[in-house]
Amino acid sequence: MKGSTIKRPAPGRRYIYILGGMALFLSPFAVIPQLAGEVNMCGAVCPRMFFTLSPKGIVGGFISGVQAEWFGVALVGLILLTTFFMGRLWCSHLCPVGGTTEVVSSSIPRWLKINFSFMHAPAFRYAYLIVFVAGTLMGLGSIACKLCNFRVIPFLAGSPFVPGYRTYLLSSVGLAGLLTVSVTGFFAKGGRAYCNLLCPVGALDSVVNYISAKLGFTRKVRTDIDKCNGCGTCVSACMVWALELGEDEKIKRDQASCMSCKECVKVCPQEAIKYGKD
Amino acid sequence: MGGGEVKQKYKTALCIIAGLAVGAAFSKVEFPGYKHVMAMVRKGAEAKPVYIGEGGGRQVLALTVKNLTDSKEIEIRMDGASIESWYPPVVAMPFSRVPSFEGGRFSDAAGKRLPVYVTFNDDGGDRKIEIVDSTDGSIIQTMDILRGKGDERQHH
Repeated sequence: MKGSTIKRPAPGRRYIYILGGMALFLSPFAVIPQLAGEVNMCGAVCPRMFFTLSPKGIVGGFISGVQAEWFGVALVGLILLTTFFMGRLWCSHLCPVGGTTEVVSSSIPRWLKINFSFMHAPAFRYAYLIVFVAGTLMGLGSIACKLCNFRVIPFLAGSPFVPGYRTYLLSSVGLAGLLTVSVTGFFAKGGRAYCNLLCPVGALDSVVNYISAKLGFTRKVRTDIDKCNGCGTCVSACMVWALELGEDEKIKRDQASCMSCKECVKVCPQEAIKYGKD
Repeated sequence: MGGGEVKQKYKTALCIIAGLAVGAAFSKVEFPGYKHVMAMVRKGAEAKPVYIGEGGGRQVLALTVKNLTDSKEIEIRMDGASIESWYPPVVAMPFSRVPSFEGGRFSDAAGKRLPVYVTFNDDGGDRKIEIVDSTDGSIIQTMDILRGKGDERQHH
């Protein structure tokens, strides 16, 4: 721990960043999408569209602008670069989509919430990502716009103002997306099960986070095992079930799933958890 | 190997299978009454037909139309259908380059991608979508609505 760069987050500051992310990306203002000539996170801003391209469609899609565009690709590149050096700040502090589900989830009674911690998140996440990418490339079909939370949440935000958003949300695919986001977001413990299991950007981000932590670049959560008394407070505070009590009653961390939210740092009564560089 | 480790390995294997299964299921599933179609608008070019399910009832077509013509005013129309778009922005920023949309008509649409929701009640009859140059009323392209599977690549 000696010589490390330690930062203690101020309580509630993360939600202020998330609200800023909502204002930047979602209706009614949608500032960033409008910079890219869009009004929501579909089209040019879509951070997932390039996953859906077939090899044949990549060049044609870029040329015609019908499919992937530079803005969404650049957004993903920027997210991954930030993660490599600073941890998953996009996912935990700025993402308007995961941020919305988390904020809404925090206002829902605990007894109504589903706890997804019974699942091995990395196993499910990367298996799903493989199908997400390879399914399209191999012509098996695409998941991209179906169940897309980057569509459902911005459309929900815009639905009081724009009839077209309501038309989508009330269609069969819109209702399926709404149900998925509700179960894995609004009504999930921590509000981030979608992020942890189904989001392809989150999955890529978690890989970069893991690699960067291994190489010693990124900031990360570290536990002082000598101080840890195995109370488990951090385990219940973790919104992506990245922490668990080992058989030795000490905390074990899944770095790939860790979202750099630092909630565990805040709640640890022993001050055994720190966030910083090695 | 302890019991905990064995249990963990089973959990991992089950979650891998679940991830693959959920992904595969949703990549193949087609939602009834909804179709996402991408199309290019070119003068004189023949548009691919849009295939919808046989079930009838309320249909929502999400059309992403790339206007490759010089026409600044584009109208999307179809008899008995409601035409909606998510344009213009709710609060337009000074730098916004988004086309305006009113009554099925886009303005400042040259070279732009135009998202449209076409909602109609499918009674089994022949239908077609017309893409019209509103400045002179000429039809640029028509898209026939057919039933069946058609070209799987045109939607996702």
